[in-house]
Amino acid sequence: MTTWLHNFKCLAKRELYSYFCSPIAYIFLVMFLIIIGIFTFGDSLGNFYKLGYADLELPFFTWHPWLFMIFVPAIGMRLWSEELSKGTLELLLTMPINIKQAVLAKYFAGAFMLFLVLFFTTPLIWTVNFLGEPDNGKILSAYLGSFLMAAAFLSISSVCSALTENQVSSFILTLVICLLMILSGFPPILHILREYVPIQLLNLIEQVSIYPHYANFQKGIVSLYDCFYFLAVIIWGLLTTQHILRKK
Amino acid sequence: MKKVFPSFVYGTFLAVFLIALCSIISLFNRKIDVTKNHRYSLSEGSKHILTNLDEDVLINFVYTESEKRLPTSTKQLAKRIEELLKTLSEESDGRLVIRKIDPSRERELKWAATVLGVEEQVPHRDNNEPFFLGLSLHVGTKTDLISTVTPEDEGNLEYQIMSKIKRLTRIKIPKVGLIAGVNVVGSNAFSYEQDKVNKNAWEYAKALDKDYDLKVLNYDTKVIPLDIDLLVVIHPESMKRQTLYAIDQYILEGGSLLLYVDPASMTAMRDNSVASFGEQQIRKSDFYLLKSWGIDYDASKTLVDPENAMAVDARHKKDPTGIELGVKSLQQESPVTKNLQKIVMPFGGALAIGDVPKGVNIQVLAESSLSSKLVPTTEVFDPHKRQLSMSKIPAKSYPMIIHLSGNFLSAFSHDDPEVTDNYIKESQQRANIIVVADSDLLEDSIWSQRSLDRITYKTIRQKRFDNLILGQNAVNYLLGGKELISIRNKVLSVPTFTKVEQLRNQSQEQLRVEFASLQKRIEVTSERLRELYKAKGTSGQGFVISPEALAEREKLKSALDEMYIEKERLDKNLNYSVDQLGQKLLWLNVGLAPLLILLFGFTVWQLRKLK
Repeated sequence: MTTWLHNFKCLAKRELYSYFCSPIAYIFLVMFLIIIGIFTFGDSLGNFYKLGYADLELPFFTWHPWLFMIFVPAIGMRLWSEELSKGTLELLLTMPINIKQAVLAKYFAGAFMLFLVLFFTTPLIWTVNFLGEPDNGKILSAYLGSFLMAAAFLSISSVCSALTENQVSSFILTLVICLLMILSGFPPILHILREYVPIQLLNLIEQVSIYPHYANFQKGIVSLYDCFYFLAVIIWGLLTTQHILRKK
Repeated sequence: MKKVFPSFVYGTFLAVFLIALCSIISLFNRKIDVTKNHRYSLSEGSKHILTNLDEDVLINFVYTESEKRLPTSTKQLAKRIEELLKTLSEESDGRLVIRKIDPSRERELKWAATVLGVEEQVPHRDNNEPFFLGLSLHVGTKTDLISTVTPEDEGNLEYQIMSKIKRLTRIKIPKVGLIAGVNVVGSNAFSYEQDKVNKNAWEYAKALDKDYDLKVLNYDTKVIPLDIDLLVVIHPESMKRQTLYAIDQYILEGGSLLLYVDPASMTAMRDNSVASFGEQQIRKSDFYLLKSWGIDYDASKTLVDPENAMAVDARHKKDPTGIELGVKSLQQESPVTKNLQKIVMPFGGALAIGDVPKGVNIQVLAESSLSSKLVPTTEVFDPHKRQLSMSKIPAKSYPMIIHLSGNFLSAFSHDDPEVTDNYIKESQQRANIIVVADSDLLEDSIWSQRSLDRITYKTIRQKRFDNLILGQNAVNYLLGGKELISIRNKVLSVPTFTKVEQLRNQSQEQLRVEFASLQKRIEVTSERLRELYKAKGTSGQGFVISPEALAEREKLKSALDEMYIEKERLDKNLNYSVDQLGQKLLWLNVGLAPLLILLFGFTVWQLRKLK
């Protein structure tokens, strides 16, 4: 167990090191923070300050699915594509680690990056508490939902990255899947779909979507079902990645 | 591709397995409500009512579930209503039974839904089918109805259901008496000519009528019937002594009273189409009995509170005659005001604690800020006069809502002509009184605004302030039922930026003083200029003006122009400090964290270069 943990730690550290020793992490963090800031405070966007409500649900958390849909594939595209294109995967697997450890360690490093992204938005919690008396339980629950959603997108990105050597292809494929996962629960899309799809299938599509599960966290409801949904997506992504790599 | 295919099959099977597992888990779903006030959990009041049910309750949940062409928001809403009903049923230990009726399944069921009274809702989009979403409640032979549920009703639904269950299971529905000096019940004439609440009535009267046995009493009544459990008096203007005596005796018999007095009732003035604000036109409630209960109330003065001033336009221009009382101004120990976010009192008055009779307890439920001043009502409507008057009056905090309980003394003596044979001088039973120093706060347009329902595009009333909840809480409390209060208090407004409001009030108050002095200077200068023009005509020199007078006139004219420019500048700067704070926070949130990250990255890069 100790060796397993040690190997896992070493690999996760190596991955994180590679993020922070190249400009990727910094560009990613800075871009995300600037864009979410503009979306939150922008006049015809979140309009946080002018709305005057001590609540982050509408001005801040509403944008997370759309932003993570673009930023998470950018983090996740290099998880395996880079190793595959450079041919370093074989080298990696000659080390005393197995595929499961490698998949988990790389995923953990990526998830840590996403945690950092959300952590750097916490001045907004201070801001909203300075301005009024918000419902901090609701804010923390929305943060948890946001992190789980980003982690679920990352696991999808991991699968796409393992499928192809080309990072751009991986990025586009992840983006399309994430977009479909958001849109499948998006009211206007469901509105169009119901003309052609039977009601049972429509309900299933709605159930698979990220949107209603994330919406509950935004409201301040942490449910077993929603948590399990995100965990299921993460488990699916990690196991499928592992399977793809094993077959390669 | 060959390599990927087994993984594709594997991934698909795994996904199907996980979706199936998710569906199973959804059947045993458990939720934690982490919101403040547990907004999405059953309140203690609901639990108390449900665990103490003596009779079986049946709720028919009428919902067009099988209809494909339903708005998604309606489907999600229906799901949440079903979950709420399920939780209620679980909590009732089998006493509450839920029956689902889907009118889209069979023609008979559609007919049944219509018979139950649930209304069909027609979405505004053409390709959406009409649908049913409503509840009918049954206890024995008694029934009640929530004919439509819309997304706007959701926050209030638990209260609506529980108040109806409470009403249906009550052996005796409390009787509430109403005496109003304004048109509360919605008649075309004065309210006291009407004994029933009609569709034009204030929402407050409608709510009382729905929840209790409401009896509208004659404005000149000589006696308050003994079976009245609570008397609500709104804006008692020039009330006859015989009615005051009836109220006095009702209190001494241990009755409960909810009283709304107002030094300037805008509603009464509007009802009487009053256009000017002279002393004769002001409609004030004077209530002679307050003195004997230990409350000093000056009906000729209105409270002005610059710190809690109410925003009157989109630019957040504040009017200190409209008072917004937030959490800090409301008593958090009393169930009546606990958890209310904000109430507004336009042209309200002030109450003061006077000679309180022995055995009477007083609790202040709401008070103004320390910067508030009591100004003669005649001077309140003119900003300039108001400012002048305010500069002469010391500022202090005033109670605006007071709760009195205990044994009271009569305000009448044996010699008074109104006194009857069964006159009571001193109360034998404890009485409860809540006095509110404003009556306009209950008027619909003050606490709510009209908007369109998102699905059906029907006009609905949307709450902006908690005034109605305050009124309902007070009634519930005086009738001795705290369960419904705890449910209603969950229906709260979204918290606003109190810091911004404080800042805005402070800066606007400062500007208001500058504005008033500038206005004064403009008036003096204009007067001087007028005098100069007059002097020109009477000096006997005809149209010839002396060079000194001309110079003086030009000087005054340019001074006046400057003053007008300054006035415009002040007007534009109303929100200057608030905008400044907004800019600072924007840079702090958008700029600071990225800057720190870039600095950290730069340091790492430099260190690596050094290595």
